[in-house]
Amino acid sequence: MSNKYTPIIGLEIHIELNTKSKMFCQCPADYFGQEPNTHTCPVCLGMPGGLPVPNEEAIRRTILFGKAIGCKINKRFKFDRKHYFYPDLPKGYQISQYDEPIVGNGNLEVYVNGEKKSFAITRVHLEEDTGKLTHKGGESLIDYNRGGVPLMEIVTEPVFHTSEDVKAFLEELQLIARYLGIANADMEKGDMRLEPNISLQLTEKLPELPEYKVEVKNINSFKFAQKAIEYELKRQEEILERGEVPPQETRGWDANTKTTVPQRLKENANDYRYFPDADIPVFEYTDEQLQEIYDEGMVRLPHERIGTYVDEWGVKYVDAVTLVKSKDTAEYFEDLVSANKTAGLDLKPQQIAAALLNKKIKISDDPTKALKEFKESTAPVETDMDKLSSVVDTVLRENQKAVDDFKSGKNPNAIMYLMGQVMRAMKGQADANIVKRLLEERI
Amino acid sequence: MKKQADNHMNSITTEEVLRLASMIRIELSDDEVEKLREQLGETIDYIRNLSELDTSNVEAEMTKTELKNISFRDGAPSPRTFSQEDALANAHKTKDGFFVVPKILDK
Repeated sequence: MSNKYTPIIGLEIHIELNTKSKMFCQCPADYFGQEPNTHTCPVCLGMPGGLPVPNEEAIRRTILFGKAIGCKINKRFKFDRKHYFYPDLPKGYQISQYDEPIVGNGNLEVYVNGEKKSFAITRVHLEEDTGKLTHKGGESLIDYNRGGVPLMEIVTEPVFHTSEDVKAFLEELQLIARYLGIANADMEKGDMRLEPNISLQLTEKLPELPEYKVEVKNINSFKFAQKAIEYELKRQEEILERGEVPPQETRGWDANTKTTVPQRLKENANDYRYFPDADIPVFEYTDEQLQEIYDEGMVRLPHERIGTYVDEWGVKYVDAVTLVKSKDTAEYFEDLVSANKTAGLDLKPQQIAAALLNKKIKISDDPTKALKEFKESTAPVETDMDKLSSVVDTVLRENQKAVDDFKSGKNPNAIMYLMGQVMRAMKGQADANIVKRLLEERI
Repeated sequence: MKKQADNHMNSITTEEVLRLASMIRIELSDDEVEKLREQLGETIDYIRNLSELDTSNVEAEMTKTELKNISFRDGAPSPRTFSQEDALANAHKTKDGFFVVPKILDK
């Protein structure tokens, strides 16, 4: 991409919460791999008289997530109806949140290739997921097991300028959700979905926003997120270079052709006629109640841990990033570092990090025991100098050709061969540096 | 009576009736569009006088109850969950445990 245009990207991200029950009824929420339509009831099938009641745990998790991503939590929030006709919604509306969501705006700091960047988030709201449609021949098959499962929607400001930033941000959201234990956030399984809004603006016109945007759906992996954005930016640049404006539309990512294709949209798609769901009274939390939720559920987040590892413990940034990719690994690493201190083993955190990442220390081992064994394995080998001295003399005598080759400069690597011979005669019980020094002295 | 109807001709336009019809997925003949335009117009006029009230000091009210924070505990028993057979009992068409509808294009 030339500097003439600057990509402007905003994100809508859906993350399904892995609660036991659905969002507005007590049906089991674990739909994956279940027989179709075995987790439904009058509420999630939208039958007359069904009365939705919100799942408290889903609300608690959304509050926790909002706090973790640096957003303002609204003490008062409500649920609204979003109307549209489509068979994935049996009620004719989705219960969502419109003007009073649980989570307001904020900023999330993310490391992108070692550089700390801050991305503006608009809001996070809670809604119900829809049923799953499978199109087969002339028919569509519907399974409502997923219908009504709690779904968080995170909306960002149009603050992303590269697909790399988007990927890093998505990975951070996934990691935070997993650290908090509120969601599986597996993109391949559809637990986490991305819909980016993508456009290009003439760089000289910034910060003015472009007059169009293209929404891309159907992205189901981090890799595709990056590919779809890159494809779309290139496509739009070509249109702009022809002196045209890309039409405002929704496109779908096609993983087979690695392109985006226009999706036909129902008319008046944006006329959702939102209004408050009169079946669900408003929510008002006190500061004390919110504090209780944070105290109970907040954990040290990945970027906070990276900060500690790098700035305080001197761990390499790349290693720190790899360590925090799994909460179990990060916590075990911290156990190791504190065991190192307690037992006075005097290993550097970077050594411990490397050992853990190279699997020289296994996560199942007792931290102190594992560190002691590791330290022994890396300790310099005790060298029997008398024995070594006579072995070196013997090897030099018996390999005159190699000695000559090395001396004459014909084969500088001959010394490696000689070292190998010495080490073999010593059965490995010698410090390689000492062997090398001795050989060089005596040749 | 005729004069009154004329006064209210513009309460709702033909385009608005057609848009409403498309949103709720019903097809209307030209006669029906005209008839509904008149009837809906009358309804709107009938309640129009509400807008004469000064509501600047009245807060929006979602429900008539004083209730708030009504929720349920995650994992509570679910006595209302249907068997697959009951869930599908009223469907026009089913197949292998799924509801079946005419093919819908992707959203």
